[in-house]
Amino acid sequence: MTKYRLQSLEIINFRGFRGKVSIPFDRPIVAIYGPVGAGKSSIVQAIEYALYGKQLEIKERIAKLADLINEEESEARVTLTLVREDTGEQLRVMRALKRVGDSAREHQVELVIGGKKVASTVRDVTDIITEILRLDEEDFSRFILVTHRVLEGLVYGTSTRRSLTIDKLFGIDILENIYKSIPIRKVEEILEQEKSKLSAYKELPEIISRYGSVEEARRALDRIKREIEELKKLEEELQKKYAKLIEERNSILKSLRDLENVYIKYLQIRSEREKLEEEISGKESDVSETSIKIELDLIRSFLVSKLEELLFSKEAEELAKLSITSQNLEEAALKIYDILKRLEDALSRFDEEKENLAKAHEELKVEAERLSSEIRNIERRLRELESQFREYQELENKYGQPEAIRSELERLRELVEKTTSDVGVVSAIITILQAIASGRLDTCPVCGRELSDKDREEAKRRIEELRERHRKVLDEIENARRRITELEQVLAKMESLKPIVSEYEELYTKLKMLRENYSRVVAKLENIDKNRRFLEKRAQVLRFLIDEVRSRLDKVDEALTLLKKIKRYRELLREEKELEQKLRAQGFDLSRASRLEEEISEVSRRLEQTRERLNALSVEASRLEQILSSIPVETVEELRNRVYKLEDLYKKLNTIRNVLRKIQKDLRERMIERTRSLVDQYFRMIYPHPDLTGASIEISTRERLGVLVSEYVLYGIRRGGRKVPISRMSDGQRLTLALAFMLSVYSVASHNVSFLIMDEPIPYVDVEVRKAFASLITRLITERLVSQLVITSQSREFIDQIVQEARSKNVPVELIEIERIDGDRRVKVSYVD
Amino acid sequence: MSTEIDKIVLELLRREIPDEDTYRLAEQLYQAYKQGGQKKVRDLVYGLLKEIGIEIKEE
Repeated sequence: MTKYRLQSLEIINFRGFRGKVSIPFDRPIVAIYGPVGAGKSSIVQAIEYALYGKQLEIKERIAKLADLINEEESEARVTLTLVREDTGEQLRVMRALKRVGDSAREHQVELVIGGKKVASTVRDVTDIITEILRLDEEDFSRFILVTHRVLEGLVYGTSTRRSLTIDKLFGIDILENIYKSIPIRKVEEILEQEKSKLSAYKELPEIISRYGSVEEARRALDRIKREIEELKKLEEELQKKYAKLIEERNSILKSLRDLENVYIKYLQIRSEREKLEEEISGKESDVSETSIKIELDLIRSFLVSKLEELLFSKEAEELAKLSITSQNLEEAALKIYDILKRLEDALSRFDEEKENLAKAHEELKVEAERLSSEIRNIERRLRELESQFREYQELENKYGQPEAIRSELERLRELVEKTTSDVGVVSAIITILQAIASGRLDTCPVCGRELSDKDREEAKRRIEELRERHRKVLDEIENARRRITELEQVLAKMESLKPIVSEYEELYTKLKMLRENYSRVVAKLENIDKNRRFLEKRAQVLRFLIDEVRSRLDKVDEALTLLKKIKRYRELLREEKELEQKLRAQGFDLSRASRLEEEISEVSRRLEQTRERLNALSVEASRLEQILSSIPVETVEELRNRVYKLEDLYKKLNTIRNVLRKIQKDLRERMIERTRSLVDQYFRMIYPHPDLTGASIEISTRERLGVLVSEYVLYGIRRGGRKVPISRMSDGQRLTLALAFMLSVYSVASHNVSFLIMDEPIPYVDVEVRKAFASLITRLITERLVSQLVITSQSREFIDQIVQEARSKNVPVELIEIERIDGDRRVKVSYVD
Repeated sequence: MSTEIDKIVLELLRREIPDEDTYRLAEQLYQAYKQGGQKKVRDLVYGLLKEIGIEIKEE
């Protein structure tokens, strides 16, 4: 294994260290401690600087390279020696810095491997070290250098911060940083501004059609502005005049003393009276209580007769009982309105019923069509089967039913059998008789009697008889056989036709039933049609009636309103006269007051008009100004082109942002795929208690503002497999898990370094957690996860705990104590073996 | 390691962004960040806006 560990560091005038300081790294655990500002981190920086030189500057952890030189000196030098674990070969790197003005430069570098100088330029030295260790400066700070920022991010951070910390360790935080760096909101804002300019152009055609041209619109804007100025002046004048008139009115009211209320009432009555006068002017003669009563009576009679016709007997009865007098005209009209409302409700019900009937009609129509189609199909099939069915029927008529044919066949077969046997006997008898008749026999073969000529003659006669009978029997057999063949053919035919006959008969029965159903459906349809026509007619008449009566009733209502106004007008006129007399009796100049009121009213009206015009002109002027102001800058094509390009850029940036998120998720998954099993393995190795049996890491994805956001979830595993997220773990468990994760990252990086540097890893945690951490880091050595661990801390107590833990596990420790005495640093090295 | 990440990211960008122009821009943004961090990315976008005719003044 080509792994390197630290062997020694020599620094001269480096940062706070003045003069030469040598630090050996002789034990597996090197604990560096000292108070804040003693220079612990400077030792870590010296290691990093020795390896990667001025690259350190880029990380912004030091302000500038010159800060590495002790402020009292002009030169600094760092020499770091690493040793290859398998061969013991040394790698020594030396860098010397020289102050030049405010900055510094590396004036001497040297890399010696196995006693041979292999490089002496800044670039070569850094490149060779990077190659040998398989680590560049970024990887070094991620994998080898553990800081409290990283540990805290993992242990105590929110899920987002933890994810960013892990991204940093994996080296994929660049995606999140680029995502955040793209000024998408700015581009969006600019795009919106440009689009709003473009929308001003959209109104240009309307402006041109209204004013003729842009130039005319500009002139119109000037005119409008002038008119606005004039109107403002006028408004001011009218406002003053109005105030003056009101003042005058107030002074009149003041002089009235007790009559003030009378005068105000007089003004109110007069105003109301004038308004009513305007409304009823010229209509007074058109209306009277008598004429309204006559019309209401006529409406009532008309309605009663029609309602009876339409079978609304209850409503007709109510109306017939309604008594109409001059005193209850309004009430009677309301009653008729109420009846109309009920009729309208009935009309709605009719419509509803009609709809239901239409629905039922539609459904039945569909059913009728379905039945008709089924009937047609069956009829067609019956026609196809008809000839075969007829053939069967004819066979049945001629030969009877198959059962009867089978019986007949049985009988004939038996007959043939029996007759055939008889034929054999007869043939034998004929043979014997022929022997007798021919004289070949002298005695009877049956009884043995001697045969005479007479017997022979008798035998000849009997032969003839038997031959005749034999022929007949043979004919009978032949006929029976022919009949059997015929019947067998018929039976076979009938049996082959039987399924068709069954189908025919079944279909025929079904057809009959369907036709009956069809007739019933058609009858229902006709019935519905009839009901619909009836309802339609009734609804039509009712609708006409409602329209007719409502129109007449509305006129009556108008007449009633007018009548009320006339009455009110008369009342007001009377009251006005009385108040006028009262005021005159007190010496009040009513004509002067009237003129003043008229003047106030006129000025108020003009003021309102002026303000309305002013508002309208101000709106138009503002709109014109906005539109016209953007026109001279550029042509609409130029602006459109820019908006198009902006949209394109916006779209591209958005696509890139979305893709960055996707890649981030993808990369996170790839990275945890590499580390997952190691996290579990290391956790098991360094976690000493049985409550957690393993650990892992996974990705969870959720949607935030429409974008899928992924996050890492570190968790422990309880017995039985239940997951415990890091956020629900104790501090000690969290530290173990974080350390296991960091070690897994350290391992997958496949570098050639076997040491780990922890620079003040846990400065702000309590005693118990420190103790747990001390035990953990000792286990890193005992479990051979790293072969060398350099740890810095300002806490002597923590260092003691490390020593104690290491001693209990037989791990040697080197202690480096840094003291500050009068501005100088002193380094004291001791060992605990 | 970081070289490996760069390679993977550029490959994924290529795969996920079929439009050549958008891919070029993504690549430029990536390289800009590598060279000069967030400021360089912002400068690149502002430069593109300037080409379109929009001048942004850094706050």
